[in-house]
Amino acid sequence: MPRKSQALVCAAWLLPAVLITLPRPLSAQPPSAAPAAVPPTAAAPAEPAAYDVAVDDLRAPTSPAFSILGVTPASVDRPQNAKALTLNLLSAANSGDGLPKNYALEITPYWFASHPNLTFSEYYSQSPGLSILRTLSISVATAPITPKAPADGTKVALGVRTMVVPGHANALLAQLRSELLAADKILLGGLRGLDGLRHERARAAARLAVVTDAARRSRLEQLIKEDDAKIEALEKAEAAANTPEAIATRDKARADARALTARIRELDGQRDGFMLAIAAGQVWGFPGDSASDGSRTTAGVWATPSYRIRPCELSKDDQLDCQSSVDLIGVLRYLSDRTNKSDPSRWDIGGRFAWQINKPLALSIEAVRRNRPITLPSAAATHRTVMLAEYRVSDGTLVFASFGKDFDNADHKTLVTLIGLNFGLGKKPIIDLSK
Amino acid sequence: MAESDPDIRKECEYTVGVGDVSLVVTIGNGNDGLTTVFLGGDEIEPVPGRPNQWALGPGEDLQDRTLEIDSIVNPVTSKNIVVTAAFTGGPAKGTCVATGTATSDDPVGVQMLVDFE
Repeated sequence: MPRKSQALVCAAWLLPAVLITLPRPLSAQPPSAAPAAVPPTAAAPAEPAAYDVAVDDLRAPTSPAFSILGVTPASVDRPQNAKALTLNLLSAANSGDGLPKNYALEITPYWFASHPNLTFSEYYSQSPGLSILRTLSISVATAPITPKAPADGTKVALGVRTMVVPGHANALLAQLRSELLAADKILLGGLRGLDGLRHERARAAARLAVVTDAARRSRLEQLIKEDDAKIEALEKAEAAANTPEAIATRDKARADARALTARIRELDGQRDGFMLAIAAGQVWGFPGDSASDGSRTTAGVWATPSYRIRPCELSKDDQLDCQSSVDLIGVLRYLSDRTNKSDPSRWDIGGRFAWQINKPLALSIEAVRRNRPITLPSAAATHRTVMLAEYRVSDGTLVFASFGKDFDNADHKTLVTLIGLNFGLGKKPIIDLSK
Repeated sequence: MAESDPDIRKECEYTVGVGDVSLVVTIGNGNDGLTTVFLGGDEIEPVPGRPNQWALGPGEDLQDRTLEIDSIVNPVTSKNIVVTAAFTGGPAKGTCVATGTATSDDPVGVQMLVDFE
């Protein structure tokens, strides 16, 4: 069941040049397309703009250290075991004077060790304790306090993320797994136990040369005789069975298994039911790279509960690419920044209801409430509520329309009205544009 | 020349006694796959309802024999492949563990040859 890579899924709100504007969009303008090239750990805002925060921007980030530090690392060390981790850290520490600059590391400690008893079924267990352990990731990142003046010192961020409730397996998994095991059965079907038989025969012959006990010798001689007969018969059967058709069937099974493996791995990130992700991050600043001058600067905590329903009729083969889903997503984010005297802490809470009716059409409504406006001196809470419709025109292109109210801001322009085209760059739409 | 040309191959020994020997094969690290077991060129069916468990028979009938365990492992969860064959019924429990690394999404062939002593 090959599918195009989801790498292209990240679609974008197109720049205003292609917008078919009704009234001039007032705020909540979509951010520009992602930069073509981001320098290693380039400083970037943790959110698109101070008052342009949508529910997706408030989800528990995959790598909280990078998010809280406001960097987009061009490369991230992801060691797979403790030895590689040690080597990576030593290499980073030796790469320059003082703290390493522009360094990013992410590890998932559970997978440092092998888990021989963790079966496929147990992997999908919904036990919170096991889920927390398996999905716990730790991220570390460093960046210069002043991007253009590395000598000013270094910021170091540490983040953790885990899925407390992992959700249950995607509804499509059982069908795909059944197809995968059918492919495996074809691959195993070509085996006849000849390797073991030859090994057994050779071992018996070697033993016969040293064994003196008459009964044992008789038994080994009989075993060799039986094995010789079976080997001859199985070799003939193998030669007869290795027809071009049989080889082609196995080649196809191997290709199917490869594609299904990739698809099942992809579905692991698209679970159904209730899920809860939490993340936290902390930044320390070290002016002049002096450990004694280090202090905590920024901290963040995220919680993202969500619930997904996939109303597909799985009995129909053509539903394997089911695109219909209903998602309820809640977001909670708290940020504290000791270096910002005017806005030392803020929180956002919100949610989204998204209904992908079918492959080309999706509707959603989302609301975010924050404790006070970013661009106003007011201390009163403000909110943003936006309805959105997306219609996929073709692969990689969709039309969207949004309407609603943005956060209070200094311009007092809070009406959101927008119609536009999305050509598959930048911000992720609800609809998957890649397939 | 190997019949199956497995990606991962492991040879082990297990000392049998007079009791019935039982085998459980586990594909670990959250991966998925199938296993078949051969003794003397004959495929042994798993215990009904337990697709990863095999009853191999009395230990005295197994002495000097070689068990071939063939698994196909699909790296759906981890590229680190681990297959464990656990034996009971002899004087002591025994395990044979085959490990390796998948370099792609291709199914990985794992073969264990277990000599019964």
